[in-house]
This record gives sequence, C-alpha cells and structure tokens, in this order.
Amino acid sequence: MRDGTGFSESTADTRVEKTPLSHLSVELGHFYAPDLELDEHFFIEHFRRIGVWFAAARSAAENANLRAPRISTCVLIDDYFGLPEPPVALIPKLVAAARKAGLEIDYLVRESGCANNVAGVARNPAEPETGPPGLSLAELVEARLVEDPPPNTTAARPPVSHTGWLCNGQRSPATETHEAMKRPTAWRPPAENAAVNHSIFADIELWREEADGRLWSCAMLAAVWQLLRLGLLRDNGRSVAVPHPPPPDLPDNWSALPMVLRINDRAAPFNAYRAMTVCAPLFLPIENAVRTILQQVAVDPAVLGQVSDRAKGEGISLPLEVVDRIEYLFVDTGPVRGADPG
Amino acid sequence: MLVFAASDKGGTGRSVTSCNVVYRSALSGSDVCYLDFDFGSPTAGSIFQINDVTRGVRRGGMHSYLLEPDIQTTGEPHRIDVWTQSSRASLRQRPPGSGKLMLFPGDQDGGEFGPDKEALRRCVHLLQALDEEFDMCLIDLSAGRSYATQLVLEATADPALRGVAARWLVFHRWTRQHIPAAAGLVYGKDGILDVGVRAGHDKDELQAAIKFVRTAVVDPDSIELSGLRPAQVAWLRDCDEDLGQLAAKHQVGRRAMLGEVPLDPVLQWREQLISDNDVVARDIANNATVDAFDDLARKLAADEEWASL
Amino acid sequence: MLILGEVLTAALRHSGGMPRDRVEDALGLLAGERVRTFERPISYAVSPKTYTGVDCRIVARSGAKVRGVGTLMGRACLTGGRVLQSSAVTRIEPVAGGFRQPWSHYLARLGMVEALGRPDLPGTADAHLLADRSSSMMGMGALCVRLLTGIQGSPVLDRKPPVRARRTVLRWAATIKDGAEDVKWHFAVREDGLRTVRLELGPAQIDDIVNLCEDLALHDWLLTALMSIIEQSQIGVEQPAQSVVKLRPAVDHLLHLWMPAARLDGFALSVWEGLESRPGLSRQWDASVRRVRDQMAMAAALVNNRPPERKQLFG
Repeated sequence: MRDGTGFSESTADTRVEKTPLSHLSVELGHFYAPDLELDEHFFIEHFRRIGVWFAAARSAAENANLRAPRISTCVLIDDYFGLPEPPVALIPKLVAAARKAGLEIDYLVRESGCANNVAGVARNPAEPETGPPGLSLAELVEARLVEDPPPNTTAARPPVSHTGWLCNGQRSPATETHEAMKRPTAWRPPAENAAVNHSIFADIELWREEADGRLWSCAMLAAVWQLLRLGLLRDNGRSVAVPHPPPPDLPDNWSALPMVLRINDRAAPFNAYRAMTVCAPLFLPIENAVRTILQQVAVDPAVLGQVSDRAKGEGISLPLEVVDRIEYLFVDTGPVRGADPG
Repeated sequence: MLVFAASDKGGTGRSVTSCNVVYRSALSGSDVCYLDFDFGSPTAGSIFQINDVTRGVRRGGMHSYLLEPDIQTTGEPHRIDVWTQSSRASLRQRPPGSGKLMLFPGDQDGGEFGPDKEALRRCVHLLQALDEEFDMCLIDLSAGRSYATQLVLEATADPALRGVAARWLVFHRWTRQHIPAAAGLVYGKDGILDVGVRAGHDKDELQAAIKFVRTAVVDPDSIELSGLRPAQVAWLRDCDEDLGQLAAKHQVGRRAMLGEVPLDPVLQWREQLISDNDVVARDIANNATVDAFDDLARKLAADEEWASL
Repeated sequence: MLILGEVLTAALRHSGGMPRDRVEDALGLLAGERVRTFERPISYAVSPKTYTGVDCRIVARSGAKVRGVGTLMGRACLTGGRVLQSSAVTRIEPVAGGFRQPWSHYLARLGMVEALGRPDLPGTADAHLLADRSSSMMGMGALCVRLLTGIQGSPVLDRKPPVRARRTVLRWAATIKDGAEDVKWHFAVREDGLRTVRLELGPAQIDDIVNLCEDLALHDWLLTALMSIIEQSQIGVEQPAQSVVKLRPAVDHLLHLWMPAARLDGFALSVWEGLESRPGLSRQWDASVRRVRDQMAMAAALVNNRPPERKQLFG
C-alpha cells in the first residue's frame, strides 16, 4: 500500500525483480560447433582481432562521460544445433586463448539455454535439470511478439502467428481462391510496412516443428540472447538465467551447466544497458533477422521503465526503442565458418 | 444446444421445417437462433419474412463473418430480431413468456467455399458465443456433401465446444429416391459419419446424435384424404409400407427417426412460418403440421430421445 | 488527451466456482506474465495486458479520417468467479507529419495509437460513442471478442454457463484536461445491448479509468441479466412455483455479485456516487432483488399452506 496502513494481497503483486546492470555488454564471439573444434591458435587469432575493437568500445564508453564504465564480456557457445566438445576441455581452451590475446571472458553462455526451459537453474545450480518444467526463454519472447501491422489493419485482423514465420510487411498473397465460382486473385508483390519508396521485405523463420518437437531458428535464439543481455526478460516477474560460477569440476555434459556461467569473479554485471556484438560480416543476415524480430517484441513496460529509471539515475541516456540499444561491429575476425549448413 | 439441419437433396423442406421448429421453440419460452449456413442460397430471410434480406444481407452475414474477418470490426455477425423485424404482423407481436428468436442471415453473394483454418476458428468462436446466449442454435446447412457440413463437423470436434450438446437432423422426403439419398449422406463414403470421424468425432457418439426427419409425408388415414376412393387409400398404404421397409433397410427406419412432417400445401407453396393464426383464424394450414413442429421442437430438447443405445 | 475503450461482458461458461490456479490458467493470456488475483471484498482476477498492432483509419463523426498507427491494449478479468469481461483500450496521440515510423517506435509506446495528421479528437470520441453495435472503432470490438472467446474456450471450463445472456458492449471515451477539477460523465443505455460512457476529467491513470468502466459494465450486465430472467419468469402470469424455477439461476449465480465500486477510489467513486443518485442503478437492483425474494417467499408459503395430501398407503 502506498501509505503504510491498508490492505494488500500477495497474489495481486505486479512487481518485477531488478537485475544488476553494466553500462555495456560486449559479445566477443558466437561460436558454432565446426569452429569450436579448431585449436587454440584459431581462438587466439580470433580474440586478437576482436581485442582491437573491444578497446575501441571501451574508449567510446569512457568518452561518453563515464568515469569508470562497467563493461562485461561474453561468448555464446552453440550447444543447440551442434554438439561441441565437453565443457571440461573447451572452457579452459577458450579462456586461455582470450587471455593470450589480452582479453578476459567474463561470461560464457550456452545457446541451448535460450531454447530449453531454465526454471530449474535458479533453484539448485548444482543440479540445473531438477526444476519443474517451465517456459523456455524463447517461449517467453514468442509470447511477447506483437506483429507489425500492414496498412489498413484493424484489431479485427486475426493474429497470423502459429505459422512459425514473422515478416516486416505483407506477403505476396496466395493466388488460389477457395470460394466456388469466384475469379482467382492476381499476383501482387510483397511489401514492407515501413518502406521508404521501395520495399526490403524480410520473412523470418522463428521455428519449425520437427519429429521430436519444436526446433527454434538461429535468428530467434539470437534475438532471445540479445534481450537477455539487455536484462529485459522476466518470467512471472522473476529474473531469468541468473549467472552462476562454474562448478569446481567442469562436467562432460553441457546440459549439466547453468545457462550463464560467470567465469571471471570480478566481472561487471552480465546484463547491461547496451549490448555490442563484434562479429564477422558473415553473420549480417542473421543479425538482420534478429533486428526484424526485435522490432516486433513488446518488452514488458514495467521492466523497460525500471531500466530506464535506473539509467536516468546514473545520468545515462538510453534509446527508448530496445532494438536501438544493440550495436554491431562487423569486422574480419579470421576464417570463421559459422553455423553448419542446414 | 447446437442443432444442425442437413439434407442430401434440395427441396426436402429442410429450411422451412427448421425455421418453424425454431419458431415453435421460441414460443415455448426458449431463447433460440437460426444460422443460415446454406451458403449457396441463403433464403431464411424470406421464410421469416424479413423484407430486406430475403436473399441474405449485403454484408456482415454468415459468409463474410467466416471468410472476411478483417472487415468485421466488431467480431460479431449481423443479427436480426425476428420478433421486431419481420414484416408479418402476427410475428411482430412477441407473446409474453416467449424466448428470443434471432436470425443470423447469410450474405447475398455468398458461395460455397473450401473452409480454411481461420474460417474454422471463426466458426468455433461463433458457435461458442451463441451457445452462451441461446438455449438452442439451429444451423441450417447447404444440401448434400457441402463445405458447410464439413466445417461444422470440424468445429464441433474442437476442444472449445466439448461438452456442448450437438444434435443433427437429416431431412428427407418420404419417397423412394430420398430415403437412400439421406442414408448415403449419413452412412455413405465421405458422408457425415466418415467426415466426422476424420475430424475427430467418436463414431458411435456422433451416430447417436443424428436423427432423421421425414417431410411431406402422406398419411393415408388423415382426414384430408378422406375423399379418396378405397382403392386409392389401399395403394397409398402399400406404398407407405414399401417405403417403411426401404427405410429400415437403409438404417433410416423408425428407430433413427425423430419425427415426421405431413404434406401441407401451405408449407409447400408458401415456404413460410405457419403461425397459430394460419391454423386457427385463417384455417389454411393444418393443425397436424403445427403439431409436428411442436413435437420436433420438444423432442429436440428432450435428452431421452437422444440417449445412445 | 483522448482515451478510447470498449468492454465486453459475459457469463463465464462454467457451472460452479473455480479454484485460483484454474482461474490463472484461464486468464493467462501471456506466457510468463502473472494473473493478479484478489479475494477481498469480492473475488477478482485480472489477466496480464496484451497488445495488438493496428494501422487503420481513425474516423471522426464528421467523416474526416486520419491514419492511426500503434497498439491497442487488451486484457480480461473475472469477477466473483462468474462474470467475464474483456477490454480494449488505447490512447489517441496526435503527431505531426504523415509518415509511419518503424514498428519498434510504437512498441516503445504500448497502448497508444499515433494519429498522423490533425485528428478531430472530440469528433473521434463522438464517432466511437455514437456508432451502433455493427461497427467498432479500430476493431476494438473484435479484439474484445477474440480475448473473451479465447478464454471461454479454455479447457479448464466445463462450458455450462450458469445463465444464458447476450454479451453486452460498453464503449467509453475519456477526455483528459489538465485543468479539469471535477469529473463529468454521461452514461447511456442504448439498444442492442450497447452502452456508452463519456468521461471528462483531470489527469488520471488510464488503468483507473479502465477499472471504472469495467465496473460500470459489470453492474450494468448484472442488472440486464437479472431483469431478463425476471421478465422470462413471468411473475404474476405463471404459478409462483414455476416462476421460482426460472428465477433460480439468478439466486444461485447473480445476486451476491452486486458490489459497486468495490475496488475503486478517487474520481471513480464520485462517478459511482453520481450514478447512484440518477439513474440509481442500485435502487433498481435492490427493487429487483426484493421482487425475486418475494416470489421465493410466496412460493415457499404456498407450498407450506397447501392442504396435506392424503398419505399414500404404499410407497
């Protein structure tokens, strides 16, 4: 109650948890299975090339009147589409390579954590798979999609979700009519809703139903990943994917680890006001898809308000639109192969 | 309760009988509505004598509700209160204690269509919303193996309509051609049972929810035929017996029958509601016809008539 | 500032009470968001807010049109475990320039529709309030129907509505004027189960206005449903015992739900106070409830006073 005296019911609560926030989160790498097999030299070279731009990002933050900028670094490991070598071998290899290149990996994140439910992790970090089945982060984000309406759309238009596809405009209509004895409709081109003169129409696959369940697309998981870094996801008001230190003995199995591992004890918070991704131009189409998705995610206004109030309190100006809080540097990071074809 | 009115052939008197049954139910105090799902030729407006919509409404009817959700800004289809909108004076006086009598008309230029997922979803929503409001919703379907029939079979299999009683009336004339045709519509390949099972219905449950209604039945013993010569009456009786055997052979016999409507010239030629006024004051329609409608209305609502064996 | 809303009210398709977790299942419109529930002074549960995008004409009463782009907020609530409501709400915000922004712009301003150009706000409010039930501004009605029907189809419900009644639609328009001190309101009952509320008030939270309008819609629906049950029970025509059978659903499911302004305060209370003096909703409700109770009492008295039937020898 506002004034100390009064009546309240706990089931009527609307509060959302706060998470600690850095000024900037820098992604030092998003590694897919084929690249993860390579030896230490590949990674040293990768981090060395990234290091130049990381330094630039740091000085940019300092130039923005931040005396002691809180910056955290992270890498994303694809253990969803591929099966990398076990954590006990891979994690020390990555950390050592980064150090040799003069970088510190603060957080190491499992990509499958975006797709699988993470409800159990917070309960008992030692046994992350024991929690009750909850929602995956991808499902939380999917629920918050508010589709970009084409011109002349009222709320009467039924949601066209449930197809697993999301676009930024109007698809070319089907040319077959389904009404008896009516003329078939002519072909029309697709159109981007916010087109400037000409359309750049994008149609993004979010997921596909496979024999053993739903397979989320790389773009969808990367969109979840960016929202997670920005500290904008909650599950029933609770924070999700809270970072945990790695267990003293690294397991053989990735699924036995919490989603977000804090590798560096002295790291600034994982979540940040802004997120920067430094990656090879090869990933540009994926990141364009990520942006198309993020343009259509309605983040909980309570969480957005909380984050922007705190930014204001720290004297930081933050774009109102979530998608504008994500920055990219597309640079040559060495001979990456990226995701497996198919 | 949802009631689906089907027939294999046109001209069975399906629509006019259905309208009259709905009307009798309203008179007895039930809130009822009539949905014109005869997409090819929506004519319920003329049976209820709603002047502007004798061939359906210009927009907002059943057809556009199902197929053009984008322009239906209210999410509700057009409805017509028969008690206030009918051009027939004797209908416009809603008797005290009677229930609502609502018509959901079709669209003028509607046609048959292949149901897509969205139309199915809309159909489920519509039936759900009307079941909130009405004791009985009668859905008049296009004749034959129609998309309308397929659509409602799929809709009633939807989990959102589980627990809502759904009953089927299959209308057929009492003739040598109509009896096997009606049986074919229900039991034949790609008939109601076939399509229903494919949509997820339990065959026995669905079959128990289907009853036949014989129309234009000539009763050799009725007073109307009292002028016939004995030979004619005997011939009629023979025919009737033959038809009875034919019906039994096709599983359209007495056990599967809910009721029968006698041949009535007023019904045949005027295709309109028969009011008590037509029977009593004007003496143009037969008492037996109105009794048959009352009987159908009563049996439709009586659970014991529909208990599965 | 102009805020437009629409409320759809219906009986939940469920025959009895429901435990809280079931209510939460039914009203959980958004994965990962809580359904808020209250037990005092009457049970009440409200869904999380959902949003739907629109890019359509906003039409004023004069026929003038501007393009509106943005989102409508939609939510649903359940009162007393019996009455289900869904709401569509949006704020109309005039903006200069005729260009549509990237969609993320509108998702950073949820629950607002930007009117590109110079909208006639009073005329827009009129168009919203004076339209008949067959059309609805920006498809608000369709949104309400979609939300409500989705919940009514929830597998946790037994699909047996306690009373059969038509859904009622209440459309409202609130004009917020910074200088306004007291609240002006007008409540209209129109045909076809349509009601309208026009509000003019000082700065206020949109949620408080939505709560008020839902509360008005709820009580109007209760009154409408009770009146229709009484009418069909044919008091004075039928035998009291028969009338009582028809009145029973009202006694079982409706009579205890009347609790105007149960969770309201501030300007919303003053609107209710005004409504109580004219047209006097509670007066009409109380009189109707007395009528129902009198019938029950009379039916009971007639049963008790009936001459005892001869005892059957067998049976």
